Amino acid sequence: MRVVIAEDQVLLRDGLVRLLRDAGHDVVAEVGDARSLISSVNRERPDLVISDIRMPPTHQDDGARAVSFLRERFPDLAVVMLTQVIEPALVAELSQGRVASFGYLLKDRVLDTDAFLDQLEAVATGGTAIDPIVIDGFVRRDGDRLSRLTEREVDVLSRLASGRSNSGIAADLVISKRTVDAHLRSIFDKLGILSDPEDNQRVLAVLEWITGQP
Amino acid sequence: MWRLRRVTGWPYGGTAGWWIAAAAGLALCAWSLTWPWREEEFVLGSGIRVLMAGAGCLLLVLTARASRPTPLTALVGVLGLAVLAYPTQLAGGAAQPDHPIAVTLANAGHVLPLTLVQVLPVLASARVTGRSRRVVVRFIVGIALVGGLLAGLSLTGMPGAGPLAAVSTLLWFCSFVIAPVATWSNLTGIGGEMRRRAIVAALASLVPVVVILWCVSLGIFSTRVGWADNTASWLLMLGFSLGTLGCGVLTLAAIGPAAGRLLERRSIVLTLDLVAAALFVVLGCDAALLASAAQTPDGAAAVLGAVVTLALGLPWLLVHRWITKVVDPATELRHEWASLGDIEDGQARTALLHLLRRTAADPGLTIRYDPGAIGAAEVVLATDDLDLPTVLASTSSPEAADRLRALGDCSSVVRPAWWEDRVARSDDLARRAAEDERRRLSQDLHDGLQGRLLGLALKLTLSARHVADPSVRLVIDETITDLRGAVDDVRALGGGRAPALLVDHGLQPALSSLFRPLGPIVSLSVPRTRWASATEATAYFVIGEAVSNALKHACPDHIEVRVSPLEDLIEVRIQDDGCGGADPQLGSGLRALAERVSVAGGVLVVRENQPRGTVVEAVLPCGS
Repeated sequence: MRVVIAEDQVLLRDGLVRLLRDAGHDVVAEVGDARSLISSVNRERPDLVISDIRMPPTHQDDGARAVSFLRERFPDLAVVMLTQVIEPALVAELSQGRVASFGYLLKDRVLDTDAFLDQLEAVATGGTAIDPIVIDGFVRRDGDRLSRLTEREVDVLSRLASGRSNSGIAADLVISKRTVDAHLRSIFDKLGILSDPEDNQRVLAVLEWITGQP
Repeated sequence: MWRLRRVTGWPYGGTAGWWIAAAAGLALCAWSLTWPWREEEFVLGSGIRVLMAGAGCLLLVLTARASRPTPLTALVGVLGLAVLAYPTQLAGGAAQPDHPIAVTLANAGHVLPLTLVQVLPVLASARVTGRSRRVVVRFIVGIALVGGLLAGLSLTGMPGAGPLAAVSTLLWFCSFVIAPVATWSNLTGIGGEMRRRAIVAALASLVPVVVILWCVSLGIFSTRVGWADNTASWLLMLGFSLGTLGCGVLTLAAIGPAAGRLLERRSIVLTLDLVAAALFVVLGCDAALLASAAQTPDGAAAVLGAVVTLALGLPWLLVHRWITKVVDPATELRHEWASLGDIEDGQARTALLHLLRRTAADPGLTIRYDPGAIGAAEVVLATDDLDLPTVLASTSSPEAADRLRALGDCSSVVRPAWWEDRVARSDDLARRAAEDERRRLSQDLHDGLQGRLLGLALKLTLSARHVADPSVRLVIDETITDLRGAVDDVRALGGGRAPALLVDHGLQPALSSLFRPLGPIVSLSVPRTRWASATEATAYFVIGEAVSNALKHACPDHIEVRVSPLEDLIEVRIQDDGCGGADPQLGSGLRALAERVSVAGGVLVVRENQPRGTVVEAVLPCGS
């Protein structure tokens, strides 16, 4: 997998590069600011971009704006945003309603190296990886939707949103894979997501959660 | 003498010239006293002639003592000379009644001084206000010349000399209205010292009017009533001398040094009163004389005169307050300001704005406190030590601007508002600096320290993979856990950024979301009202910090958070039932809280809760 990393904190960037190289990925560019991110993506056409949100030149949301710009021009580009502070409201804005091939994770997640690499893989293959804190925030805030799903279903959905596969979810919750399937069908039913190929259904379900629009 | 020469630059000193002229004029006058008085229709005693010469001399002395010789002071000197020469001219004419030159000099002796008393105030007014009145001066001089010419022609005894003389006298009298009109109209739109100077100049222009009325009264008196010629003559000359002297003195005062007694507001009002009183008495006498001339009994005529004087004088007393206002409109403003009493903190600017709007009769008036460029419709209300404007008023009409300019320097009235603005401005600066500093700090924490800690932890994690020794791996894992804790702490520390939930939906949803993980420990009582974003952010921060402090240090079973809106404040109260012992002096967390609250313009109180625990209370302005 060819990856571009944009992170202005050199120590963390080096660590990320090492982590990805150790895992057998090809880090084609490592940059420290938003402008270089755009030019390197333009040059390298990577499979995945990992980008910090706050970066030079203004240290505001330069990374987020660069990623929005890139996603508009390269719709297939897989992106994982790393952030210091989770702001649930930002997700809808950043994902621009397209949660496929999109991730939004707290920087701390890099320390759980295996899970982090899994999430990167998931995003690169068209999946979604939203930080569990964000999912919590969404689910908890939106009382109406919560009332339609059982507690177990919320657990399943939040894991689904953070990029876990069905077997991963089953292992997490210590239930069988068939139970997970049953929960998912129930979730799709309740959210009115029907008769689509399953992958699409999963993305739609997450999208529903995050943006509040079916 | 050398000093005077140096000051004036004249070969023998301007002052010396005036002294010499005065001495020469006096000597000539003394000599003229010895001349025989052959003229019988017009008799003038030596006493009144000495008085006239004295008035002239006094003007010359005042001119010589003027601090700065200017063309205008020189003109006053010329007036003094003319007044000084007049009795000598009259004596010459009386001594040689058949000599044409002597008679002409005697008859025309009053033309120059009476023209000068009209011109001088106009010139003085033009000088102090900086507004040219050349046309008026030319007009007065022209009329004087024409009047003099006609009078001269009438003396030659040509046909129609009588009507010609009447026309010239009439023209001459009418011209005396011009100077007062020109000088008093010059007062609009000026203020302060300049206004007082212009008023003194305008007063000088009124003096000739009084003099001329005096002359007219005596003329009527002498021709109709048949008082002794002698008395009429000396009264006429007395009026002439005092009038010219008054005019000269006031003119010199108008252009004289700033500390001049006559420039004080009280002196001006007094002079105005005196001139008015003289005018009223003269008018009263005129009325009495006219009545007497119309065959009214003397007693009734005297009563009529007294009635006229009173009828004019009483209203004058009533409008005295108005006079004071005309002389110094700022007095009125100061009175009004003083009548407002003690103005509450922060209200001085509003009070000043209302006061000035009323004074200028301009509801659209605005005040600017930042010194900068002055616009066309703007009036400087106060200046600093360097004469740079500190307070400006922008008016919506030129009339309002004129009214404000007439106030002059209103420093004493404007100062409280100006201070208030300065204090508010520096407060604002400090607040912004503190805000910037906090933002920078939070950014440094987030972008710098947190990232670096994470980087370290990640490197350690990666390194640990290659370590076979389980005990070493254990140590590394522990270190990584510690580093994670540090990252969490840093994130908590840098909580200066307002969460999106707070910004978008307000305090209540943001706090509910924040404390949901704590479940029943924290009970919230927060209205769904929205306040100014800065107020909400501060309240959010205070509540978050206070609750986390309580959880960390006091182990409470229950924390109650209450936000109550007061009038233009909100009261935030965090009350726990923990072990208490919070010390606002020492706890750095509480100190940071107090600092943040005070920057937001509020106050923070930490006290013991009864029976146990701690209460943290903050009162914050809503900033509406």
